[in-house]
Amino acid sequence: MSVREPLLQVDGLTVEFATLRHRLKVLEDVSLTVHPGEIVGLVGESGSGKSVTAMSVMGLLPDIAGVASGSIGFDGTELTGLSRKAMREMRGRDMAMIFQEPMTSLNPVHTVSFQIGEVLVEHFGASPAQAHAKAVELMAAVGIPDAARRALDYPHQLSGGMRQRVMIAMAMACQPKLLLADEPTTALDVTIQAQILDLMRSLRDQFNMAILMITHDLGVIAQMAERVVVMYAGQVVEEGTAAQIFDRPAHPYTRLLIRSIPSARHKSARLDAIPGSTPSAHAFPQGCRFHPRCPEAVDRCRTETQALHGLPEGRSSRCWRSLEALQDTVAAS
Amino acid sequence: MLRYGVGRLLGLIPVLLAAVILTFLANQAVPGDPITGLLSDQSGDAALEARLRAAYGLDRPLWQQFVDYILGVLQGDFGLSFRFAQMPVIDIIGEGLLISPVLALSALAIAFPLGMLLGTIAAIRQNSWVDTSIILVLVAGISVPNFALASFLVYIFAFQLDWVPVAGWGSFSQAVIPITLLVVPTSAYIARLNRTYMLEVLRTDYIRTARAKGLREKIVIWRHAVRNTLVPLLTTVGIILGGLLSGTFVVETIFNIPGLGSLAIQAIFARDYPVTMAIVLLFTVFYAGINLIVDLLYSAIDPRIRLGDRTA
Repeated sequence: MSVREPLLQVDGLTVEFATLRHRLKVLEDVSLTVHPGEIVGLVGESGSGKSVTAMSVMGLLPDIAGVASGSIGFDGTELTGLSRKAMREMRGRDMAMIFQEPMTSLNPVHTVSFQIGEVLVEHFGASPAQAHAKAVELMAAVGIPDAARRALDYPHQLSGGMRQRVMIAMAMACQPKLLLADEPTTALDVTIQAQILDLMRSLRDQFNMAILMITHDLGVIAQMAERVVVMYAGQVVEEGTAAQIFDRPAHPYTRLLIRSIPSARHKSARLDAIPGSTPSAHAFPQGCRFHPRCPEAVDRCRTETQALHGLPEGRSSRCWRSLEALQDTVAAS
Repeated sequence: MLRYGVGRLLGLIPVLLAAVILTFLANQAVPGDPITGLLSDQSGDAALEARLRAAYGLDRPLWQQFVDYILGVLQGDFGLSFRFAQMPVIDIIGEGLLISPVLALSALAIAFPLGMLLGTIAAIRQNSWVDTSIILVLVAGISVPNFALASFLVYIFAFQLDWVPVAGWGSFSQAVIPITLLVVPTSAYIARLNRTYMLEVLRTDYIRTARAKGLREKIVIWRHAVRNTLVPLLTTVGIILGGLLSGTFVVETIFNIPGLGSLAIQAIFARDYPVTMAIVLLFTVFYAGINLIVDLLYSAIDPRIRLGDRTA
């Protein structure tokens, strides 16, 4: 795997939000890689910095935010410090993004085919007629029945699942190398969710497009991802293959996250929620950021800042006891 | 759509009836008597007074006067003026009929795009010096009373620079200051609203999508954002037009413009009921008509609004 050039390489990314009084580090030292054609899951609770990471890659951070340090390499280009124009020309063409809210992510006053075709007009100088024809083709490709007729619909005339398909068609228009999918199925019901995930996987197979799948839903990650990056409080806390993460999680946070998935088979009286809540960027704890919620925390965790470090089999974790924990599971099995 | 239009036109009938009843009653409630005013130095001539009352139909019971008035209006007869002895109201109004609507609509036609532009620029440059300066100008435009601004504009442009005449009506240059007076507060109001609407729209998910597509910012603003601010902005046109019409009352009086506005003021002071009522009626029709057009425009701008379509 390491032989291939990564498509996306985020390295030591630190992003700050400037508020009236503070400069908040919402991301600190975030590193992750996505290889061509690979599906990488980015997991974490809300507020962990998943979306900010994606927005940094897209160059769509709000005005008050800025990359303080680190680098984002994409397909041989360094994105931090790239001009607005160069960044804009890449967006939608080389990398595309779909969002959680298919209901509100489409402009209500334009037809869906117009909104899909617009990308082709912008990046490839397509004529309106060419753009429309291609939009219909894309809509059919993402499984919208009767695409020629639906093309002239406005977003409010389509269901949530259909709208997400339109968003995917829009993202696929220029055949990007990377698709950033920010909670693409969270707002959809379960059967539609499965269809959308299938669609994304088949598009990946067809076009060798890499996907960075951002979600808090480990079920989605288990179905889709080949590699998983777990984030907590603006940091990456664990990284590894899907098998490693799910079978032998190295970080206590990951273990709790996996245990908190409600299971239909093992009905317990209550949900195994992780006690406490994600700290906000105003007040990240000293030492390991997870220690106030960690059942395994000891004194060293409270005082000593933890760094992401490598473990056997190419995985990494931010918990200093991970190696110990992994050896225990090996011994136990 | 057609059915909706017809329905709305029929809906005008009760509105107009209410307007007539209210004006009719208001005129009755005002102290003073038009005939006494008409007689002036001949007051005391009981025979003349009785003859005048009969000529104007004022000797009959109130309800009958009202019914007669309505029947007359339906045939295009608005009665006779008190102030201009026995002159048909329709002749008096006819001369200045279009002046107020022309003033109000020209002001709207300038103020709407101007306000939209200023509001949009302020919003996309939020918190910059551009935004702050625009807001300052807008606050001034809304706060300065129109009679004060009138004196100022007349002093500068009519007296000092001698570019336009001081008052009167009939040429383009005479309309410049009056229309400016109406445009200033109206465009300021529209700009302030549009700044707010635009800031809201710029935070929406579909604007984020448009940016994620790599569209140029110009396209994001003008193709994706502006069209969405138009609908809430259009809903205010009714209110704005009401303000503009009452604005014409003041402006026409200041600049001695023979429009319905100044005529209405004179008629009210002279207790010339028939003229007042006719003008109120005309303004109501004009106002309701514009609102109907605005409502029809909604569905052209926002596909989610399909007027009168119950199947959607």
